[in-house]
Amino acid sequence: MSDEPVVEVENLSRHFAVSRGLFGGGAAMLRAVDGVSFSLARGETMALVGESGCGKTTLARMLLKLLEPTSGRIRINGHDLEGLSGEALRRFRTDVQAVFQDPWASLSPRMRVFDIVAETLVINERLTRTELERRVHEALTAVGLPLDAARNYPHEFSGGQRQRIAIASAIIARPSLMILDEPVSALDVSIRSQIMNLFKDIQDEFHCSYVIVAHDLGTTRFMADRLAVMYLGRLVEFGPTDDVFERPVHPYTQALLSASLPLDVDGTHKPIILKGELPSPLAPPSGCPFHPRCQSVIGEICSTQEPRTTAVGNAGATVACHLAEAAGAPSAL
Amino acid sequence: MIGEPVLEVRNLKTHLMVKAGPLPVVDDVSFSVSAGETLGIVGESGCGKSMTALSIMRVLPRPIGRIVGGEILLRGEDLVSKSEAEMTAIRGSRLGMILQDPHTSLNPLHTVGNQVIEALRINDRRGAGGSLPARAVAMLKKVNVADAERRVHAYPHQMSGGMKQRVVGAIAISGAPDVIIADEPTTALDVTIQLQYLQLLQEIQAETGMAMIFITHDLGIVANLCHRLIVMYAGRIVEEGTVRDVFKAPSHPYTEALLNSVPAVNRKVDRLYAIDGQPPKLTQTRVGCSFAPRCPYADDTCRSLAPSPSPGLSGSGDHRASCWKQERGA
Repeated sequence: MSDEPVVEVENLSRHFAVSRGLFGGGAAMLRAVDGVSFSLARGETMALVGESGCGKTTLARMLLKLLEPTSGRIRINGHDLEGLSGEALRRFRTDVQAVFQDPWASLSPRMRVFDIVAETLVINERLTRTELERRVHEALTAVGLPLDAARNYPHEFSGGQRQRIAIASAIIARPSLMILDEPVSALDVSIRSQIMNLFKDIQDEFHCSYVIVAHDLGTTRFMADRLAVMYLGRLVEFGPTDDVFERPVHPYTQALLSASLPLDVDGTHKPIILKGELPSPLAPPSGCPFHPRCQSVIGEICSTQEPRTTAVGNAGATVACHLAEAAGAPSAL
Repeated sequence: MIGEPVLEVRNLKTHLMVKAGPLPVVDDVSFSVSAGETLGIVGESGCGKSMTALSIMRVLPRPIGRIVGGEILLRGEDLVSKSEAEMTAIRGSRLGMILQDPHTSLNPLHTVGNQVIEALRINDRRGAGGSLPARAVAMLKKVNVADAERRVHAYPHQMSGGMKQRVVGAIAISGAPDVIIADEPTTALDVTIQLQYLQLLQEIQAETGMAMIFITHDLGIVANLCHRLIVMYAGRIVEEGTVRDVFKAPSHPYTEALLNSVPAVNRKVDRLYAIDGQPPKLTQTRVGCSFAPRCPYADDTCRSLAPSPSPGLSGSGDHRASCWKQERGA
């Protein structure tokens, strides 16, 4: 194993042209992801958190090469995703896999579990039937499903078991990176922990890296080594999960973390209640996009100048906030 | 301030009449909620929490949903025996409801103002002052809709999810109900918006003294918002008590497992507590305790006989759990 990061993202942006209203009237530019940079080491898990419209799903789709960036660069295992084609693209498609939120929608109701799980290998690798069966059995065992599940159809399984099938079909190709888009949100509380433990076991066994998109912060704390907090397309804070949870720097991160209500009946938790609504991503506020809701505005600079991404500490953490800049930290980018 | 009980549910049994036979979706459920009090109902999907709410509102899925036993007393009047016309008068005026998805609970063809006005007109009581449009604006202000004078003319699609849910809240409280039933009202909202909405519900309750039934699967919300809670499993109440008693000393293994399986935000753990197996299907015939197949403490008694609520745990009188472990310990 080399020390080169699995994922390197540099100044990545994706803009969408959105027509305004029924009669046109000029297209507006939606900056779904705007100048995002980070890298992820092998075997680590990074979580993307933020509220709806923050760009986390757009970013995940770009990592899967389901969406092309407007500008910027993504390298996965050292290969630039731009212009990937032919055999290299085929290798990428097996090497990077995804598990989505809704196991009722992500599994074909007309295929047997065997064919769902084997599909990636059937398309991308030439294997004998015996070898294929061995790999399917291996994948089913890894996700804790009985081998005779292979003969059944998805509707015969519960939500938790369906998600196990989806995971089996992702790990069968032995990917180095898995993109998990809200992988437990559709499941019941008692089933969620089973699946999250399973993701950890799989990571130990197959040494893959995860990028997980999640809105539940408990999930994030448990799963992730690194946390990326997004707001209106910008990466506002990035760093080791424990550091960000314990010492959040960006006021938005502080509010977001405090909004997750703990199981605390003594009333010691005092959440930060933000003002106002999420602004429309079509008309983001000037300056720092968070300033109209921010509880720590330091002055005019917040509404006039976009904060630069600044390094915090020495663990590769960054934050985009005038408060951190004013504190005299050196600029990172 | 918590006053006298306004809604009492006694031995409620609701069945869904499906081809395979009647499904006992709510099975002998009893609880009460008082003025100014928030009662949380928690449990996983299919445990009967929403069916309990729909039974109280008498809006069970037709034609298969049926209340087959028990009483629902709203200030002493039994709702089970009311006619449809009588229920129509009660819904919206004395019982309010907020559903999960604000995108589907508002009519897309009417302005939000007209939808609030409709609710005000239906619930009009003598002595209410002001013109209806002015009162609609006042209602929107009450639920903290910014720029209410302008927003009253907006259509639902022009509003964010959080704003729409505020409008739904305005409609629900327009008749000054005795009880408001909120079924996962913040699940579709973003977390920072959820927090604003919960604060709003608390403010409205403090002002009006209405009773609230809050259905959720989020135990963090229960800890921070509710006074008491009931935990449901497979159509039955397995534990009830004040939030403090139940969270500090969960007495049913299912409650304990639910609390343990919430991943902590404030510390890092290596492994999550997981409950094996899955909730039972309602089509299965039930023998013994429904949770026994997943319960780490289950023995032969649990698997053959259904437990009954054992009262008086944690000292405060109304903390009960339906578990043989408690009966044996007592």
